[in-house]
Amino acid sequence: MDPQIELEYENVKDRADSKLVRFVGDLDATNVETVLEKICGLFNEGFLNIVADFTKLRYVNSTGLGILLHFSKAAKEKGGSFKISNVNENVYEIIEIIGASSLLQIYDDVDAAVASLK
Amino acid sequence: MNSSLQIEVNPSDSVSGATIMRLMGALDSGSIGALEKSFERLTAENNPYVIVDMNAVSSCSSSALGQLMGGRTMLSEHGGTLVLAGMGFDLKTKLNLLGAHKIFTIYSDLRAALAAYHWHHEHKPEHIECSFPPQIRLTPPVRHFLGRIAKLKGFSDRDAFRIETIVDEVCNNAVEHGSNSADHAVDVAVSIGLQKIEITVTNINNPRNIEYFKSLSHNIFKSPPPSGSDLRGRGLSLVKMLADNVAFDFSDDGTTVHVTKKKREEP
Repeated sequence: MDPQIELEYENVKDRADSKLVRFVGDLDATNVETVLEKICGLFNEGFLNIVADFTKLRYVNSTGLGILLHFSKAAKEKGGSFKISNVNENVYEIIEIIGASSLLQIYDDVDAAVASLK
Repeated sequence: MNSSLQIEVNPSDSVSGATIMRLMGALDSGSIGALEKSFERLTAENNPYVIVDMNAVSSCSSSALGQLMGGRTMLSEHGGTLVLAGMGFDLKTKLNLLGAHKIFTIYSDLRAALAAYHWHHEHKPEHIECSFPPQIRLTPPVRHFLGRIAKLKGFSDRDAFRIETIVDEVCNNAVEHGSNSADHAVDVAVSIGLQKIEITVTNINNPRNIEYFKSLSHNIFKSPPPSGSDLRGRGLSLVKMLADNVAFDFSDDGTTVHVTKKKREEP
């Protein structure tokens, strides 16, 4: 079965310690392990800050939300950050209902997320 | 002009209020008189829903199509509805070229036309059942399918997304904690009506997880969702918050989660 999610990577201008990751597809129980491996791989490569662009993330379930919280915590522990941008209304509702909106750093768009990097 | 057309008109055996007009043979200019008489009788009898079963129609001329349109108009002026069903590919293609699809509601078969009557006129829910082996990779197609059905049945995009989420979470829970034997399918039964959808998911229990299933009825539905960065344990709490009602039935053999979700009007 084809993976339901793809991650696209882009450098962040003037920020060698940061990476922009575009999530494309559905984040769910079938692919959290793969996403976990890839994002943790970025942290291990030395990227302290990850800016996630959710423009093309259609769906996230509770398991997917669990790893987003894990990324946030892992980044903080390394002195960095995991920031989310361009969240669609449906996905945002799931984040909000589960009480994670205060635990995640969510921005309107990529520019705002990048501008907030320390 | 002689016609080879035969017409049988009978009330539906299964759906009260629906009448089936079965046409057999060639629909041509010679059929017009017989068709007209049938429509006059159906109109006089105040039939609310007439399905013209075209399954045994070999051909249809433009003049005969015009007569069907006339029959539709006659019935609708008396509060009735006329739909077409069961056309073969060639006939459907030809009639669509003549513009039939712009005038008529056309169903693939009689069953679909009767189900539509249940839905539109009697406001009866439709039922869908599916089973799948307990593998996590199989829940996405199930949730996509039911989310799509919800949208087709008039639920908003947002509600369809919520329904997709509910199906996903309950099915994932069944797969993750239920029996993983390929013979022990996860059963999903859905009843979808105009105002609400009911989703029932049943799994065979994994004997090693009996305590987990027992705890569900006592704890999860009463407790708030986990906080912090715990990776698991939010699924059924999320379902509870998205749904209008969640009921839980546990036995030593199996577990059933029954979820009711009402249609919400979006601002």
